[in-house]
Amino acid sequence: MKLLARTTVYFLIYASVVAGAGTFVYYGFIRKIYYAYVDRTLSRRKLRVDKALRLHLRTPADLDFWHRLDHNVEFKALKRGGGAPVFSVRMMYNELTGNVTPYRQLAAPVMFQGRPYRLELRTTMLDSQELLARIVQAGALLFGALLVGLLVLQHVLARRLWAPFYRTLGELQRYKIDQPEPVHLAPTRIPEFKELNMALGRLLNRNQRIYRRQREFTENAAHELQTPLAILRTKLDMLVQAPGLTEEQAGHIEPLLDVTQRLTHLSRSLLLLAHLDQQLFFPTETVDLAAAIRTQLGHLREQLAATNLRLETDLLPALPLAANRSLIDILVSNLLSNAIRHNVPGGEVRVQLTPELLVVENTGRPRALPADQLFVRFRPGPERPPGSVGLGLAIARQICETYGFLLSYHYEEPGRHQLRVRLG
Amino acid sequence: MKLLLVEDEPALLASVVSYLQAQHYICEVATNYAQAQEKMLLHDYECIVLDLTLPGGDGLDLLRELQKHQKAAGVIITSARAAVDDRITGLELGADDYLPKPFYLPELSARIAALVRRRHYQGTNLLQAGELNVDVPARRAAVAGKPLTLTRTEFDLLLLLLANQGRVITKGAIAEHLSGDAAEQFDTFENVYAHVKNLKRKLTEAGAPNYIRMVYGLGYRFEPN
Repeated sequence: MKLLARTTVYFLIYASVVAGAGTFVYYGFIRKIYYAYVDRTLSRRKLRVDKALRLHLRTPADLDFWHRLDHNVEFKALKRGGGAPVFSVRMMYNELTGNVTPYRQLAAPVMFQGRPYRLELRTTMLDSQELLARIVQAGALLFGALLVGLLVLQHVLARRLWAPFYRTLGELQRYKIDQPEPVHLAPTRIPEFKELNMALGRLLNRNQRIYRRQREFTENAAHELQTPLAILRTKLDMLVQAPGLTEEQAGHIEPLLDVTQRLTHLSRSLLLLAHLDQQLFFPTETVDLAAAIRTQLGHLREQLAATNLRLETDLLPALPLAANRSLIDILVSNLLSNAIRHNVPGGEVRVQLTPELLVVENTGRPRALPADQLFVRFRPGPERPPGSVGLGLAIARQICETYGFLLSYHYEEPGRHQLRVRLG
Repeated sequence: MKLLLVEDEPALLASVVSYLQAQHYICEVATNYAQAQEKMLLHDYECIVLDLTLPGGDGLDLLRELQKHQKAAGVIITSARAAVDDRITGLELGADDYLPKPFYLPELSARIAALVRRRHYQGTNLLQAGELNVDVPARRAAVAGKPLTLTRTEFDLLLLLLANQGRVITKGAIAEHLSGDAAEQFDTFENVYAHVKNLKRKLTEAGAPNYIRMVYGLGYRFEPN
């Protein structure tokens, strides 16, 4: 549930509880005020009746006469006097409306000519009950209007107030750490969002800066390595020309040639990764993937033979792609070399190319490799054979990302490891 | 044949000069931008080997200057900046080749030889070494008139050997020459062994003496005499 919907629901629950309980409380409150008012009126009328009993009335017949004039004043003879005045509600027939209606009644003992009477003063509550109902109705209506108004207001305000938040969220969803331009969060006047945007902007731009610096560092480090490596290589080239080179000396030079080779490969791989990360421009041309695979397989034929591997291919005759030739060559070469390196003696390499999929499969250890670690740069571990710089698959994946391909690893029993490139 | 080597790293420059001089090239050197500019505008060279990062300026500007003065020298860029756009800009500015650092000296020598050949003998470009005759543009080779059937790789290998006659070419240099820098390098040089073996077999089958010698485990040397 969205944040806005959630707050609205909570608000609705709260408002209906308050409105429900509030209506009852409000009704009770108004009723109490109204009864107090009616009772006060009745008490005042009783004072007038007391005065009339003392000054104007002579005989019990006068009392009856009064009752006949005004049905709401009634005297009843009692055997004994005393007792307290009592307010009550009673139902009586109303001559004007011809209905039984509720009356508020004050019953109080009075003395008339030395004899006790019970005085009953009544006032009809017909109009006043309706009034009460109307008051409660109006109250409820007001409450309802308030509720609806608040809901609408809340909705509109929330939309407006939270708009910067949603803009920021959208910006974050689009954010990529390797994007070249700095993050731009839309300005807002709301202090909380302003602070949020400021904090986020600082964080994101800082990340980007660190990322860029690290990338530059890798690139510079790789660059700086090239010249010393060039010196090393050319000096070794000169050294092997030395006349009278003995076999022992040659034995010392050979490993130097090998490590120089490895260092060169390593620094070139790092540089390539840095360039891929930077999304440097690689010129696009039409590359035939099938032909690239055949060429690379040709380069690797001797390696396959030397390790006694069987090669099985199922390739389309041609599959033209819009990509950079060197990158496609590197991708194919890395996948194939990987399949040869991690194979078992007498094993098999299977290469399959369909319009959607390139599959390179090799026999290997009879257990699945951790797929998430496979593409990590300089992945350590026992799987890494000597001489491998541990960047081949990382580069392969980066190239795939550059062209929107999807590189994934699959394991099939028994001991068949697959690298799949989903093209396009 | 006169070359200009533009390189600011003295140790590297020394090896390059020493290797190329032994290949009978006349080498002049420049170690900074101004020097290179002066020399390349004053003299004519067969080939200029140009480093891009120079004290005092960018090698690409030197290329622009060459283009402006319509100097006829061939240019091979050697750079530690392996960025693709550098390569493209360089080639657009009239450079003939691009060799990223670190390079092998036999490779550089082969590239210079190829460049010189291309510029001088358009169409007819025959190489001769001992009994071996090679028609480079037609990609044909023959021993004492008897044609050899070589694969593309074997022919490339032969060109590398011919450009570095009498010198030891390490296995790494051969491997890189054959597969380019795209290929992942294995520590084993099965490729190199196989191709050299095949080439050797074809040469001897055609009646040539054993021109290709292995130098311990390091590499090979082509000696026509």
